[in-house]
Amino acid sequence: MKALTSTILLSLIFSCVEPEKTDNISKGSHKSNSVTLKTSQTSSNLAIKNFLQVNNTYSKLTGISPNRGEILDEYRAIQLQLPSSTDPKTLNGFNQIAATRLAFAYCDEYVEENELDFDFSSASTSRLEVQNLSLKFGDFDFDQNQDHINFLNNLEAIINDEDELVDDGNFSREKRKLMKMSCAAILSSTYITMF
Amino acid sequence: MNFKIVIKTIFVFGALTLALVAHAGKRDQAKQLYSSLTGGTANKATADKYEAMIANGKVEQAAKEIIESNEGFYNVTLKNFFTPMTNEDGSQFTSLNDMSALLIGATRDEIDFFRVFWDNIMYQFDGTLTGRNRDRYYLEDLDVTVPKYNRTKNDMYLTAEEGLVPLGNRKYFIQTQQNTYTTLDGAAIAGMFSTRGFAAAYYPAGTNRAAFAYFAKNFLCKEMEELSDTSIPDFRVRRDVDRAPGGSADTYKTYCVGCHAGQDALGGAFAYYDYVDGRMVYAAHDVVVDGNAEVVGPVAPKINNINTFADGKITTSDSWINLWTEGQNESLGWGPQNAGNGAKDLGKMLAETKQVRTCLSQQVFETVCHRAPTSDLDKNIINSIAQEFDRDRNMKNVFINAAIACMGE
Repeated sequence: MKALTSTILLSLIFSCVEPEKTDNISKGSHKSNSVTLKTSQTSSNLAIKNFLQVNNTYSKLTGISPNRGEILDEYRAIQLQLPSSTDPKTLNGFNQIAATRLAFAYCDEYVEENELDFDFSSASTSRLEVQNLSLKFGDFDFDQNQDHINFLNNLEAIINDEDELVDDGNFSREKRKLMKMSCAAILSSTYITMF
Repeated sequence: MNFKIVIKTIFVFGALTLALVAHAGKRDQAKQLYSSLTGGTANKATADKYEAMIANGKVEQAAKEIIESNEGFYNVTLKNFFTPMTNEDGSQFTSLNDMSALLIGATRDEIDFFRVFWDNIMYQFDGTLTGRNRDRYYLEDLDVTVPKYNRTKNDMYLTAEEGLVPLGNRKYFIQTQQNTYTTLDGAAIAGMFSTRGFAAAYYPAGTNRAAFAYFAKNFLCKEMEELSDTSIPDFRVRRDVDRAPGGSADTYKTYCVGCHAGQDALGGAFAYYDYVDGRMVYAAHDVVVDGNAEVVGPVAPKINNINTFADGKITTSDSWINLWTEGQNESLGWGPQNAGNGAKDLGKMLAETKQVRTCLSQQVFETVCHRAPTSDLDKNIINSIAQEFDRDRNMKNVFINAAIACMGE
């Protein structure tokens, strides 16, 4: 079990940051064009969101108040495990687990509150449902960006329970859980938790 | 939530490699502008909106709209930015207090930001008086109740923060004066230096030297060691500083005096302040003499308490002198007033100090651009922002200018 957890954490650390972005962390790639304040040519480096930013981002994207009972309880419980700094070098597996836990809390409320956006009367899930959920939370280009298309495919794999993660016996409840997992997967992804 | 499901979802998602680079050009700029100002993530609808504004050349307008339409700028970005300045640990986990509220409010209202160092202003929450003792405000639209300002507690700010009161809300988060709130003594009022938050952080125990040391760290971007200049005369160094630490006068001459000569000369400004039992005390200090409490003043007894070197400076007033206007620290561009009395005078001098502009501009750059300035280009950008800050004295524009400068091509 310990080995599995370690593997998960390591896989998280290595999979969540693109190689070219990690280059930027160590090298600091800055362009050297002339300076005009309003139209500067610099590009931003990679940073992670700290505890306040993660909580506010989740709240803003889901439209769920962070003051709601279960969310507030969860946030207070894990606040110190969320990143305390925006420096990506400080990111660790515990930060990611905490972000995922908080994402689950928000998604639990979000899916229940926006029930009409989903068809829980049908066992099958349309790609459009997952796509719409993704676009609510991020700016994905599912028409042309292959990485985003792959991302959508992976979300579909979650919602279709290809890895047999949920065995509830009731298709409606099962779909609801899988939708919450998909939602949490988007929110806790580096697309949302990093700048 | 089931922990197994959490782990499974993480595992499934851990295998995903997300592309962080999406659309190029204006869309990326829009998303960058949004995230750097609010700390949030733009979804498709948000990216569409601000991409269109940027494409129409309305970059500054977009930045302002992002700020005003999203509490993230005030409650997250500014809270993150100013909170470490309110405690010695530099922690962001500290609650909102009257010091951070003042800094956030002055930024929001685009007033002359440097007034925060000396003027009779503060920010509080306001609403309909309620409660049996009419000691609370009800913020009706938000359905939040906060206690009235209390000189011995941080209740008002803590409750408002927990109630997620948007600091951009001009109806409930208002500018007012410090009179009767932070202190009953008008002479004590000196912007953030006379807030309870500042007092709690920098006036308890010790000798109030932390007040200037942490101002230097937070607003001049200088640690005391960087300001050390052993060529400055030491006639203001207090009696508690050993002139021969470890038996070596050389240590004092080559090390200690470098900071103390300038710091103690400026530190006189804080001689009347103390922080006792949760409240700021000014000029009237309780001491116990023969078992009876007596009020003495105006210098806080702790300032002269330790007599390590009898010929050292005995503090008898709140006068201060800036001895760093010559030597290596002249380059900080101090304000024109070289001497004065009290924190208010000192604050006015610091408010005109050029390094304050550069330091805040640099910190904002690092906050919104997510990197330290390393290249000449970065340094030029910071200088440009600082110059603009010197002209308009508008802290919000510092954030806007830095965010625009860093939003990419």
